[in-house]
Amino acid sequence: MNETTANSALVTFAIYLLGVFFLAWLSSRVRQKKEFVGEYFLGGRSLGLWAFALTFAATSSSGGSFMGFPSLIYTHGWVLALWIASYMLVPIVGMGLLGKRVNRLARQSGAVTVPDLIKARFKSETVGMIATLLVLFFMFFYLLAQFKAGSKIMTTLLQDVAIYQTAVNTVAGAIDGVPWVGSAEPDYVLCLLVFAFSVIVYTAFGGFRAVVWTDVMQGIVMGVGVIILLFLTLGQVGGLTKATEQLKEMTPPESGTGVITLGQAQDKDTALPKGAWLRLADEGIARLAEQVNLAKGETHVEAKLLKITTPAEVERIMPTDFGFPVTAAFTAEQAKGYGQGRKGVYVSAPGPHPEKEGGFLNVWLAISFFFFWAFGSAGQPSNMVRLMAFKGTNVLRNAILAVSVYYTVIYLLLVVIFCCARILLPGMEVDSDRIMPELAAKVTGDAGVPWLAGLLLAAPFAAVMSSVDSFLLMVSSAVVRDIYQNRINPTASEKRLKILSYLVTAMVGILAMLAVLNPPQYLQDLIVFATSGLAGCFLMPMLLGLYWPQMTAKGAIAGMLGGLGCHLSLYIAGYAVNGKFEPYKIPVLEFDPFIWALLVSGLLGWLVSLVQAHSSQKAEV
Amino acid sequence: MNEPSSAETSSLRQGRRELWLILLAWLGCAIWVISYCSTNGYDLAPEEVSTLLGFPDWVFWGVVTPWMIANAFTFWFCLRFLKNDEDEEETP
Repeated sequence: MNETTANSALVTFAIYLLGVFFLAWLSSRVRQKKEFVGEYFLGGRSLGLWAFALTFAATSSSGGSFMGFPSLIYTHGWVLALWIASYMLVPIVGMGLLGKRVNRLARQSGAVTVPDLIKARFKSETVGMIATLLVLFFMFFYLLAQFKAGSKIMTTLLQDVAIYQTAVNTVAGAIDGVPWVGSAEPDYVLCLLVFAFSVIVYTAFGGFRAVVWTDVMQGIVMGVGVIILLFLTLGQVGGLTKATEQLKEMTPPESGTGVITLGQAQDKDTALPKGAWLRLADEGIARLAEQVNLAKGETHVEAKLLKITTPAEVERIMPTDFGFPVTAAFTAEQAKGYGQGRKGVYVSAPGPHPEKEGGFLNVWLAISFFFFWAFGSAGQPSNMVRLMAFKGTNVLRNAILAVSVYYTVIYLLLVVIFCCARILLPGMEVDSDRIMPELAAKVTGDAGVPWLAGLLLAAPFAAVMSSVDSFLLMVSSAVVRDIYQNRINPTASEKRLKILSYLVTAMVGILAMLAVLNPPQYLQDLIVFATSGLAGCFLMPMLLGLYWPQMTAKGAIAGMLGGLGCHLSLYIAGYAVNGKFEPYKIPVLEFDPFIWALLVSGLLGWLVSLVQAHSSQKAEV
Repeated sequence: MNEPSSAETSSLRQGRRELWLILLAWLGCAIWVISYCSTNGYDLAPEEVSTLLGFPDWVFWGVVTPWMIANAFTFWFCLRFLKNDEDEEETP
């Protein structure tokens, strides 16, 4: 990323944060003189079309949509269209499946949170308490992962800004030797502090309405960013047909190691940056997969390399000019994945994979994802709480339509854009998470509008922030409303609840920030664990409870705990068998644990309710 | 146990109709997408992939087309099939 692009990213980020704080301030003004809890946690149930549609869409699109997803498209090609295909139904399933019934019950019962709603439906304190504990358990994991994701995105996007590097050096000096924090990367710590402070302040201060308003702004930023990126990218590859034709001829690059040789010894220490292009001894071309440091006078060093294997690219790519000759001899790692040396893998399924012999997406996984995206979205409490807040069916109707168009634009176009990115930016496998900022810098720079990169780079910020704020408020509402107000002090004054809400939101945020200051491993896996766990526990009890009057409280408890038990069992079995934090996949049927949890949860909820109804009938007789 | 009001009964009945239609739409799309893509999109040599509007043909017929049809269905569902509850206040 050049200096102009890097600086425009910083300026955009600053303007964006100011906008977010302004909306939080405005929201707190609107909230004054209204009933506090319902306003703070549910925005007074008054969401109109655009607020409801965009808060739903933006909350569902986390940092993964703009960093992880583009990286997957770049690495595996057109098969990602199949991977994401069930987003064609996410609006109608995610909002339509439960929307009207959830909203009706919430209005009738005055419920403010999802556990509140469940408690009202089953008229049982125990069901409400179990729901609260499940929300707290899974949401906190989710929050940790999103805090880390937000900070990582910031470090990626700002790493070339000069003033940012100065601040990183200052932080490095400050945390050096500090227990726990000292072993973390200083750039990560700096970004985490800025990110966490911003999100905690505007969420705690503004409440649900601020979260929704910022989601609207973030949703617009994401949509506009994707459309601009599409036109710039297609213009530079010469159209989609040309890009797909070139992709057909591409073969995946090879990872390996190489001995790098400097043509002449240097009279000072020399660093060859990660990503630099090197001419190989066999006339091929490879990219440095790590930074290489050579001491004064040293001429040979070993490093990880990525060798380009597509002939047209080998001819086109020029080696980096260091001011002195550099060559490398490459030794490939033993190929064990799918697609090595094969043309056509980027335009067909299952897509290349460096490790998995079956490729990126086998048919069972495709089925699993088609189920997961649609029903996983419907089962998220953070989405359910939005269904409690819209004004009426007319708003729901138009919001589903708006989100359908929005998701088509975002997800289908992202696949198109980042398939084209392979043509424009070869060898990005060395750091594929940077493909979004690198592409934004490349296409805006080449189009003569480098300042526009700032707007495009705001999209990932927006995506992750719009998810974090919602989860933060969910955890806080579970503590204030479901535990304190409903159980400890039902007669608490407005003033006390207000102070407690601010404090709890801030405390939860600070706790999450402290927990990820030195981030544990497996955080990305925790996102999947939390998402599928929440949906596995909540979807079937909610669905049965809303559409089947015979569903009982005991049935709901059996459904929630059954889903939890199944989900945890598969993860524990996965850890026991594979030694890693991943679910056990039943041979042949490699479904996500969410599908099994959903089946167990639904079956138990249904059976226990039937048995209970049967026993009650017998007792009456 | 209190008898549900007629508005509640009618809301539940209409809600169930909408639920079944949504589930059927999901199932229809799932069968189309998975069966088409698994038959026509796996393990292809470059010469077996033709393009349609720039998309590989299996992506066009297996993902893009059902996506557009799913959007059309969503529009029909929302505008024609999704009903307001009887006792719901009119909102603009």
